[in-house]
Amino acid sequence: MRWGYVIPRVIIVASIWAFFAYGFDPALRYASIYGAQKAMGAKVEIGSLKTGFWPLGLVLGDVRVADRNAPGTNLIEFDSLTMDLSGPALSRKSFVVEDGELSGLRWATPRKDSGLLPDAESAADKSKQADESADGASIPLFGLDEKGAELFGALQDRADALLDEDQFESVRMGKELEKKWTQNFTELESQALDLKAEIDDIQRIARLKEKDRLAQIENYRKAAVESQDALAKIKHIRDEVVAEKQQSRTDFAAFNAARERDLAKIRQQINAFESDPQQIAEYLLGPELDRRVKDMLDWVKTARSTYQRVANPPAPMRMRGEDIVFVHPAQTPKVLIKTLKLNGQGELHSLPLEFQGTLTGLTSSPVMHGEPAVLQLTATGPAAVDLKFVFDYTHPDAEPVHELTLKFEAGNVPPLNLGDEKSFAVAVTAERLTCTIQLKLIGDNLTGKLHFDEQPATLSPHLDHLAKKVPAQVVEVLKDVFTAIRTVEGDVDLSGTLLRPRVKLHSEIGHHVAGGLKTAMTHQVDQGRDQLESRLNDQVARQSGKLKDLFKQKSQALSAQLNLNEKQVQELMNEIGGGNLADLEKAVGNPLNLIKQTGDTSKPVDLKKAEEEVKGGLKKLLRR
Amino acid sequence: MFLLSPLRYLAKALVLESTPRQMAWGFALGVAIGLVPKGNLIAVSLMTLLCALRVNIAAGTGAIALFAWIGMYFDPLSHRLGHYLLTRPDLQQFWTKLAGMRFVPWTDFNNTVVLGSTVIGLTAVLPVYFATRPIFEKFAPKLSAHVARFRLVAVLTGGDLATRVAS
Repeated sequence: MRWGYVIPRVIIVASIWAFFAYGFDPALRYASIYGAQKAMGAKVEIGSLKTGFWPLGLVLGDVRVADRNAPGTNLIEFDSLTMDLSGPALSRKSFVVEDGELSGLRWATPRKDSGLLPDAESAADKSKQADESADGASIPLFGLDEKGAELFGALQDRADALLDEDQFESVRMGKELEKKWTQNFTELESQALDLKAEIDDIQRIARLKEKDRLAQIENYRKAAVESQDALAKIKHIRDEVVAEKQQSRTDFAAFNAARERDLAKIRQQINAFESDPQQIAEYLLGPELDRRVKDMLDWVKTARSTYQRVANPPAPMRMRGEDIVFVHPAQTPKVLIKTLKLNGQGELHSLPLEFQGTLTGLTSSPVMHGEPAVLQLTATGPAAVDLKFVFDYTHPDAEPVHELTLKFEAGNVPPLNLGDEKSFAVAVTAERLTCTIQLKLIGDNLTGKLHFDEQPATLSPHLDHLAKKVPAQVVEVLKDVFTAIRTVEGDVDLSGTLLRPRVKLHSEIGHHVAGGLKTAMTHQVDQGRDQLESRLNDQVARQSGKLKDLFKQKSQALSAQLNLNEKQVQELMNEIGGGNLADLEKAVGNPLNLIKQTGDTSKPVDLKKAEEEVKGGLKKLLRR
Repeated sequence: MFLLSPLRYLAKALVLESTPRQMAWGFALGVAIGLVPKGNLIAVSLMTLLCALRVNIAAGTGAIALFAWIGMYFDPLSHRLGHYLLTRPDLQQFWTKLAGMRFVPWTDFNNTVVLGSTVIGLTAVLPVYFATRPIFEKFAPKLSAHVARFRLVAVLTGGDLATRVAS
């Protein structure tokens, strides 16, 4: 025997056998972890991997796949995965699972480490931030804060409006008019008083006894001229009083118009107590539906991205050459899971569930396979859940289609808190909760419907916060309104895109509550309107009377002062023209009439000429 | 000594008891294997062939190690040749038929570098054989004598013991 030939070959064959017996599974396990981590972009742990060649199969145990978008959480975790592989397909380099079973499936379980790959941690953070900013994950779909503020904050505003008089334009205008008129009359009074002082000065000049007659005459002349000015000023002030009177009529008209507007405002405010059913429905159901819709959209996002990662694994980093694809009719997809049975535990809306189901048609080449991938799950436990998720990527020229159908039914569900504790909240307990979701995602375009129904329901409103803002009677009626409601239901129409979904809520609860509120507020509103109108009218009447009195009083006082001034001036002029000048007239002659004429404003006076004439007369008198 | 017998046979087979012709064939096959990217059925088949034929495995593994490194520099040429062959319209049916056959897809024949380097490697077998045979004829005896002087080889081939018994 030629041992030199046989021994090396035997050793090589033995090495190959030893590799397949002892080294193949660990190597395949390592390769699987490496490949899965590349595909998922996060850590993947495979506790054990065992291959079988007859029959051809693969068994994986204790598998954990980290969630790259939620550090510290596993996307999925399962106890075992058994796969029966197709030999013919494997001989053509295709990994086809004819039948498989995945047991002990759980999702969103915590893990000790972040689960991110070392070089992907920062990238994942950035990606997550970018995703959040892009999809607006933190933005409420129903704009809840605004709705709450508008809905029940309005009650507070109305309550404040009932109490606050300064809100009315007429009240403010009355105060402004009072201030304006007082100021104007004070100015006129001041002018009248100044005039009185001027008249007193004139009187003092006129009564001044001069030895020099010419100086005496000059004083008379000056007094006469200043008296003339004083009379003109009195006339001016009187004209201003008349103008104020006309202005006061205009002001009163504006004041009455403001009052009319205020009354209209009262009615308008009271009408605003009528609540918008849509707002109420969105306020009450919004938070819960927001959570459910976002949960659902998150599932779709996760399922879609996971499917796409599985279906389109990244190309190897270092690939020599280029693969030219030749499609033979006998060829099968590179990866195909024909049927995979699933079972495990999960949590849905805080309810622990046992579920089982199937995954069919999951493949890396959906176009070649020609059938969509379908995930069907049925859960039992505190809730009954039927889930069907279809991933249709079979048409290469069309956008991929994802369809989700979910039916969730639960009895004696945990209390549901609707609304916002900060303003107004309602706790709902119901015997049965039904939630159905139908969603279709074509490319990024989203259409769907969510139906939510709890009945028979008991609604317990939390009104402590609201009670501080609205009258007690309203609070009592609100309690009655909610107690009477026995069904909480809603339909949400979904549209837009997966990243920017739009929602439209339809629910009868808004109409129930709005109707109840309207009934509750009617009495309150009528009372409020009458009270408020009455108070405004009283206030306006008071202010109007006050203004009239003010005007009358001020104008009378001013008129009296002006009359007094005028009388004093007239007396002074009479005194100058009739008494003191008479003596001089006798001595000087007619020219002094010219000075007297200064009392007559209708005739122009040439004082220089008069002075010359008086001087001439006096010279004649002295010569004589 | 009983345990060393298989190793002794192995050492002889690997190094000493080979003719220049076997060494040249081993080297030529090693060149072909070295040029082809590993991890496909072509490389595995050629390795099996190397082991199955009565050729010098040591020369073959040496050539594999050398030409696996040199082969990287041949990649652009291999890619062009493979791409030319794989995209020729008259060969499309042939390639498609191959793609549908069992086990053939494991050869990665549809990769341009694999196909190109396989063609280059197989084409090079005969020229390499004829080119290296005179070299091995000239240097093989000297090489065997040189290798036989190594203590480990002497122990494995029993030379040490024979020398001691003779003395």
